[in-house]
Amino acid sequence: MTDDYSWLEEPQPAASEPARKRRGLRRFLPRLRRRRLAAQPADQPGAAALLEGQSERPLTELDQRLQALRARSLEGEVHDERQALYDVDQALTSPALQEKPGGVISAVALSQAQQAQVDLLTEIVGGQSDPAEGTAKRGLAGRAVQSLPNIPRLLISALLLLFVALPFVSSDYAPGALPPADFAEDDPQAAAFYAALDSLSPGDYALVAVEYGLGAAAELDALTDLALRHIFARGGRAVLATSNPIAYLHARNLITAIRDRAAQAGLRLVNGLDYLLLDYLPGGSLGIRELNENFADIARRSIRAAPISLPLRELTDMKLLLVVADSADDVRNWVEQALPDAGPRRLYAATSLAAEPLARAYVEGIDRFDGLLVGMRAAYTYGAMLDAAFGITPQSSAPNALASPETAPAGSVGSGASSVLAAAPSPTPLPTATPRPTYTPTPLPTNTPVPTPAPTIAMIRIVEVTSPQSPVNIRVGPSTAQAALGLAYTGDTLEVLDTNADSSWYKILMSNGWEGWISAIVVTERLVPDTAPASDESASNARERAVMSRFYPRRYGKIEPRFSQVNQVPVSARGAIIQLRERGGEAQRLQAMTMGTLAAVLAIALGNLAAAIGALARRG
Amino acid sequence: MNRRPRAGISMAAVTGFLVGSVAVLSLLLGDNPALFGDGAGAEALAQNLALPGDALLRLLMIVLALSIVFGIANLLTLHIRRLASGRLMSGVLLSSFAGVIGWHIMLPGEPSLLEAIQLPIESALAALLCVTLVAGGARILTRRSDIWGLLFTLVVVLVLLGSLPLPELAPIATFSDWLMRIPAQAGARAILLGIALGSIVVGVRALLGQDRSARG
Repeated sequence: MTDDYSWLEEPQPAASEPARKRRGLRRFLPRLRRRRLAAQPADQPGAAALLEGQSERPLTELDQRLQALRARSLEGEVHDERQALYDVDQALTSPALQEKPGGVISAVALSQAQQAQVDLLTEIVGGQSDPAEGTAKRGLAGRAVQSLPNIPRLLISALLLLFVALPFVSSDYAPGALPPADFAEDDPQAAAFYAALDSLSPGDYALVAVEYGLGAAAELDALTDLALRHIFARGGRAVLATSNPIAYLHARNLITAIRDRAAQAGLRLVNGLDYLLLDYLPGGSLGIRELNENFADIARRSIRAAPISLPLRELTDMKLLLVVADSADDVRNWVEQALPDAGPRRLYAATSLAAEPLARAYVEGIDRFDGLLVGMRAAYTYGAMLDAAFGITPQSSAPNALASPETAPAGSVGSGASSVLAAAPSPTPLPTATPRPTYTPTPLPTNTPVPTPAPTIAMIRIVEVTSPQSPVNIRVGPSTAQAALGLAYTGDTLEVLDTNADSSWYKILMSNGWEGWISAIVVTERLVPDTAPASDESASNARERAVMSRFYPRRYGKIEPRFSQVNQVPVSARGAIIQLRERGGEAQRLQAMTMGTLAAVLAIALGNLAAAIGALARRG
Repeated sequence: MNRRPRAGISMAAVTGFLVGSVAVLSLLLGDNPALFGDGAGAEALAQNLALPGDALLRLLMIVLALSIVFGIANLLTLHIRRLASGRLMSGVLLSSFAGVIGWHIMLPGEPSLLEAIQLPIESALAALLCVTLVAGGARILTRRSDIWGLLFTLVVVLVLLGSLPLPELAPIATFSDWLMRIPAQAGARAILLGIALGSIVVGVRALLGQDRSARG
């Protein structure tokens, strides 16, 4: 059987119809071309013959309409699709479009000939025509109008909106209990998730894969935010990765928001040390495989120019892997591509409710896939557990948050953010009124507490990029006339080698070992202890080195960055990172979900009850 | 029947078969040094055998990344043509594209466009899906008034009721939990098995030239 169907697809030009230039509004109308089936070459089989001779699948698997078509072709022993599909070529040939004099698109109506062809096609494919849907109707004034709105759908929409809005208006319409403050008993996988993150020690790395689009952000942002804060609060370091380009941007915004909010409370989260956002991994599962195979280079590339970086060489440097996903496919990709080579490391996941069934099948069937959190209710419990663990006073519910927004201080993010800050014991001075965090990087104080260096530890000079106009250039020489060598971003830290005569430029060490110059205007200089040993590990593993030496000999040579430590968030201040999270309307949202579910049950039950009664009535 | 072989298709099929075979063999053998015995020699041999597979996968990564660039270029070209032919909505797309690029250049790191515009829009669309699903759920028996439609409706209602945090519905929650953990889990595992078997079948068919999804 041949697979060349091009003669069926190629339209013949309508030679008798010269192209006419449209004028006015008519040129916005869709240009319908006359399409004719090409003449069937003598040596090619017809569509009916193809059906007749098909042997790929049993006939019983064919759609009934195709079976009928095949039987029809066998009866007449025809081998021409135009005979098998009676009049189909005429049906596919569109007559001239009928337009209203005004020429606007909404005034286009099907002509009688077109309607006849629609009916013919409908009959050929065995479909049912529904004149109430999809056709234009003419009003009394002769103006075409769209079909009337679907009344039941409008009622359902109104019911859902009403029920969902009620909890925000009054606490009298808030049925059901809020999730418990501990899921240790009823959900062991959720408890395992919490225990894993809680067991992180200072300096441990956790890979956080952010694999959800913006449509799921409302459901999963809270889980991502809590997990990141949990990691930071335990002194861990988060390495964020994603194979979703939108999720990459969103993850960057999430971590930036956490960093900026922490900075307002005097806590420093340093890019390249406390957290690192790996470059976007193109290719879905292939990108994750590449991360697994080539972790060191992806991490180094993501750090960009900062030499003070995370000493990451392999995926096994992570203490745990955490995937936040809105799709079971993403969970599957990480399970299949990252987990096998992650050594003894274990995987944990937080998913949307829609992805739960397939994700749970994995978590219950794979040894090193241990924990699962699902949806907003789990996020609420997670937050409550973190509050309890870090001694934060639970926020009182504010049922009228929407009704009286003035109760929140101007500029605060959450309705109760300032009250939490004021009420909870704080190891660091916190602002009494939290200004709205902006995404413009806040200039950090130069006198930020730096851990007291041990006498045996040498100090090194570093500069941190503080310019809000990020990225800034690293140049070949101490002048803007010199060629740019690389880029540095706000928050990047670079080791200082020297300065020029008037100290207006710093000579710095880049992550790839190159030396460059950066203007003093865009950086702030500090002294930090040089504690971490230099690494001579050039690649993730032996195979990686072999591949790199063959394919990337110049780019990934012998030069390695020096890994140094700068200040970490002090242990005493870590609880503030949990404290600073946004909590506005958590309870109301959960109650709105409950009310919305009630409305959905009502709509489905009543709608189907009416349908069942109608069906019984019709059957007498 | 006069069948004329096409050189391009034949070449593509042969290339696909060779590349696929090399990649599969390389990755299979490279990940299993035990096949070559014990010792450093076996490990080194396995690593060397893995090189072609790794290189091909990296090549694919580069091509995939490059295809995004081509895709953007193609999209822009198409909409410039459409704009030239008078389709104004293409102008909206092009101006939005330029605006986002300009925004990023002028205000690097400023997340307002994504967080203040795209996120609410996508969230709203996701919320609209809820209305559509409920509206569809309310018409199940209208479209299919048989025992299966009734069963489907009952399961939907019970699972929804079971998810409510109401103590009065505890028995339903127990049943709903059973539904999710046993039948739904069984279905989920069957789907996963089907995906795995389907992947193998599709891979073999592609290697044998039965499937040429990319006309390769």
